Amino acid sequence: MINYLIRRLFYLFPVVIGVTLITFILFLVVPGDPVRLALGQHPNPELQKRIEHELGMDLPWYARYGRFLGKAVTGDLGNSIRTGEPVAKIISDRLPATAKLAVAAMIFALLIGIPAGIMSATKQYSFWDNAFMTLSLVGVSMPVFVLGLIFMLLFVSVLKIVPGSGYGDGQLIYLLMPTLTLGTIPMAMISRMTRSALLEVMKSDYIRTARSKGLSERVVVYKHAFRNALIPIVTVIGNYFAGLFAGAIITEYVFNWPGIGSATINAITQRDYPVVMGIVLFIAAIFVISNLIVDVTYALIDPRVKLK
Amino acid sequence: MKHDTYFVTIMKRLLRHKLAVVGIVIVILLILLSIFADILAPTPNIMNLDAALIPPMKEVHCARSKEKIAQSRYLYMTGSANQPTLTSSVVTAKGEIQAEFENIGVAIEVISENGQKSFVPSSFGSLSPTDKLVGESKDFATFRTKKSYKLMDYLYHFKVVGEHTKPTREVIEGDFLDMEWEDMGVAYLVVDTTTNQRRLHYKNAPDLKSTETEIGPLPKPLLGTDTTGRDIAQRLVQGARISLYVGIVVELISLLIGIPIGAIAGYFGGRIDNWFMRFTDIMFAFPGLLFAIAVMSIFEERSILTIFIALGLVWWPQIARIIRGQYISLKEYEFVEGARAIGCSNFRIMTKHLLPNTLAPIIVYSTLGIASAIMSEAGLSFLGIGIRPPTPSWGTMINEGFQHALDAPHVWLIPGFVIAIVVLAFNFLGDGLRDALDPKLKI
Repeated sequence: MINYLIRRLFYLFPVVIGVTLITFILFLVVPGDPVRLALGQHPNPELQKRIEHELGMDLPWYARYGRFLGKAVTGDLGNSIRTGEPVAKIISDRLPATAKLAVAAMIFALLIGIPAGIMSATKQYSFWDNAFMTLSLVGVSMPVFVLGLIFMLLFVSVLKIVPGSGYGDGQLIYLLMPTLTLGTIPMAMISRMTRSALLEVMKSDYIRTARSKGLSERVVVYKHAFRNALIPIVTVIGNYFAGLFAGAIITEYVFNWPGIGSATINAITQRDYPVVMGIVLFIAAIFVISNLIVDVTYALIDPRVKLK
Repeated sequence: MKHDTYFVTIMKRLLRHKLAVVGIVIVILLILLSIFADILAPTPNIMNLDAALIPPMKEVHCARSKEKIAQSRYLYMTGSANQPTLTSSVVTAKGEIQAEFENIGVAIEVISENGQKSFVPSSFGSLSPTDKLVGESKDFATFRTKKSYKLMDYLYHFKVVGEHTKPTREVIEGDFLDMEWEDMGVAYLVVDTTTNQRRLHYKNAPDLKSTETEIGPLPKPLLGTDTTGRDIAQRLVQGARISLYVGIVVELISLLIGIPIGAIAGYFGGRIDNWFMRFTDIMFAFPGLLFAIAVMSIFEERSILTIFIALGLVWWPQIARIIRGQYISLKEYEFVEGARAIGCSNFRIMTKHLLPNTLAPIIVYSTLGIASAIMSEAGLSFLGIGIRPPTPSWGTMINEGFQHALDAPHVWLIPGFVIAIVVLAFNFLGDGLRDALDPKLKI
């Protein structure tokens, strides 16, 4: 196991280098000089030179990449050219709101998705099966922002449960709409995945054996079938946890949620490139790490997965 | 006994798939709409501010005041919505009012054209009165955050008989929104100082008096009108063309890049394949939408071309992966060995012998890819970094309806459902094609 982990971490290395390199290249081709942008219309040429030197902008690109990488490793992602705030601080300030939303959305997706999937699989082609599967199909096809606006209309205008959008100083009720919005697509994917994985497992010989032993349907489904159906489900969960952060961009924009996603949009509209690139790098890193965790979990819960 | 050709067999299988037929009908409809867009929707960009935000199939009678109110200032109040009391507000050197406020209600200082000043307390019609400072302000919940909003001092009064209100002229100049309202009511512009986002809110203010003249019924548009009175139905039709255009071109770009790279990696294997796999690992580390956003953000001028580039860059690794997998399994077949034996070059084997065999997954994947591209374009446009207004795109239409999310939901709801239906149609068609082309094929 340890061996496997080390090998997986080793594989991570080129990916991390590549991700930082691509981010860096994107940053290089940015039109317009960020120093000029920060100094205003008529910059002092001497000051401009000094700042450029301090930022290392007079170095060749590979040297700059080296510096960038060296700094990124120590958690220094540069400073915002608008506010001068360190990008790492912007991210750490915004992270709690996004993490709260991401966790809530995942819990929602699991709490509804898995039971819905089990119900659909055990009572295939029943009313509930058709209802769940149609709903999840519609949920996946609906753009996230339309879904968000529909929830807003429903909860704020029609039901009047939620006062409005925004963070609401952390009050739980404000979490409702963004959670449903962000959680619907993973929920739909999880329920579909649970259904198909369970249906696949239910066809296998050992389930027939378990049934012929006279075990109750309950025991067969939950003790025998569900465990094996878990493997593909875990993959979907892991992939979506990584994807949640990206999905949060639109959700946070719709609900004015002060997380990393809305920070990204702010940075883009203000052309604050260091912030954009820092966030892209951060989310990519989370993505890579979550995928690693998924692979390791995969190996942990399924002894058949060879740790090669 | 007569046998069907391959094509006929596929078509028969496809037509047995009920949902796929639904998908085909919708896709054909979409294509027809795109082709005849200019005939069906010749004037998607004509604004009629007298007829803004008309709900679908509704006739609106409009009255306009003769008295023209030149300018007005407003102050924000706290207290209950019915009887607002004044709190502090700071007027900056530029004449803007900067206010941090937690509550609802508005009072307006009106300077009419003859120079007379009056102070009119007013409440927002949709806000419910409350004693608590943190009130139930519904769609203005953002007001209750401690965040500072820069409020522009251009505020005019208008009134419209009917459900919605609109300006008669509005021009955005620099930081200011210059508007002329001949009708009564209140409009105000809120600028979030952290995002610099501008949002315009219109509210009725029935307590303002004005001399009214009836200007008669306004047109009855099929699907209503948007914030500036443009016909939503026409914009939807023109938006269909844009969406289909983006979907198809992005897919073509992905295919053009993805097929050769996937083919080379899969066919030659070994070190080339290894390099390729490492590269796709890197590309897959960026969540698709985020990468597209990052690419879009570096372009100074955003056009439809930059959307093609951004989305094409995101989707091609997926195509390359599929093609690679196909080539890896196909190259073991005897017919490849046969081709090599008669002296075919690697290039010829790859293009003439292997490529036609990968047509099924390419077709299936392209259909699904068009749906993703349409969805992504809508997402980018919704965030304001996609298709630039006034070009009608479904995403931009939803973005424009966002400011009226609750008081005029038809503006965003209609394009929203259209996107969902089109995406579903392409997915149904893709699933149907997969089942018809190769029942064993699993993607």
